[in-house]
Amino acid sequence: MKFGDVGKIYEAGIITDEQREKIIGHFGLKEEGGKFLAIISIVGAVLVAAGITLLIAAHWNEIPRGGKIAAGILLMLGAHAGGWWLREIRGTYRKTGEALHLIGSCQFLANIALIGQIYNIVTRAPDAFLIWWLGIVAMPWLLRSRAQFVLLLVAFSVWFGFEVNERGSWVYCESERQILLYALLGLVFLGAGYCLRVTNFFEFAEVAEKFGLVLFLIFFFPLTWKGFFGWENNEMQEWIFPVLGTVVILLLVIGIKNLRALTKQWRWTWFAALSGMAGFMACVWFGLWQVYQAGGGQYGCWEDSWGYLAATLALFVFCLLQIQAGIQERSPFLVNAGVVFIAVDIIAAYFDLFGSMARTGVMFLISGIFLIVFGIYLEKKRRGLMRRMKTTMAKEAQ
Amino acid sequence: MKLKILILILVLQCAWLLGTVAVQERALASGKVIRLETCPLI
Repeated sequence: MKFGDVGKIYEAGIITDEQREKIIGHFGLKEEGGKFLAIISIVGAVLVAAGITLLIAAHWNEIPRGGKIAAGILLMLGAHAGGWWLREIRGTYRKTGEALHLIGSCQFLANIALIGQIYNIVTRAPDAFLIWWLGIVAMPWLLRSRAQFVLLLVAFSVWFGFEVNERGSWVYCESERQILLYALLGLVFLGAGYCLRVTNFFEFAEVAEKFGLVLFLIFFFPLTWKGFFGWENNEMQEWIFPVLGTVVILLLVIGIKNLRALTKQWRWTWFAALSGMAGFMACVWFGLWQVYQAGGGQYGCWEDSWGYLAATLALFVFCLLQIQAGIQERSPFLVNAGVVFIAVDIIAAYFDLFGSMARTGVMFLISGIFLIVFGIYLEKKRRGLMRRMKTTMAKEAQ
Repeated sequence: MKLKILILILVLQCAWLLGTVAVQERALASGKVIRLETCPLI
């Protein structure tokens, strides 16, 4: 409801002046006059920021080293000081304060990069991200900030990604198999989220679970592609997968009992689904799906292994179970993510089954019709579920 | 208490940054300068 709508109703004589005031007061409506000013101000602010950036960039070499470093450190400290003042002392603009703390934590990475650039420090790239992560690791717990926690997960994931790609690293993995490590890292975050549910920092559980599940689904999905994967490169540290896998299982064993909205049977089913996916990835990692091409092909071929079809089926079943778990947990996120990944899984299967013109034609017809019907069915089901969840939540709130 | 820990974290962050700067500045000040000999190609 807008301020202007209430004015129109009043002008039509449907409500009295007193009722108008009551409606405006109850819903906290404000006059919409400042939008133009706000847009102009934002454009102006962007121009000013861009202008300052360009001016600094144009004179970068003339600025003394000390000046650059001092400015970087002052910006970082200033952001944290401003954030503290807004959140803890003034207490009115808590979200803005949280955003300033977030800028301060990002500024630490910017300062690391700045010093690296000024002194031409040639070192391992993952180390810069590790130092950043170490520098901000205490922030979420201290400030009780979800944004800082997301940043912490992102920083860890980025460091892990760089470390996996760094030649000579203790977790080095040259092959495409590295996507399995990222998917497994997602499951580590998911398990950690389940464990966090019963701690003093339970507000971080949801963030870790969502981030972890999305990471897992995104990096599992490429396994459903026919021509993507292979075991061509063996330059890798094989031990990292079983170690991470053990961590996943341990975290899930400890944390699964905290899913109290699920029945005991469904807790076990969801645990079996998650460990089953980890088990499937282990089979891929150790090359159990590997087949060799006729004529003595040197390398195992994903395309001929039917592994991609198994992955497509596994992802489909997993997403169905996820939707069911989401309904019991009353989590729109679990349901929506499940529906989205079922849709992309079907699309992947659709392209995987391309063949001759006749076969492709038949596949186009069958899968196109199936996709439309299934899409309509899923969307109706999803909307119904969302409506039911909202109704239940509203009833509980009353 | 919370503020003290935040200050400690920020001090550690700054210490790492300034420590790196100090090490690099020292290397620049006391390091041996190596000049590369160059000559025209033609």
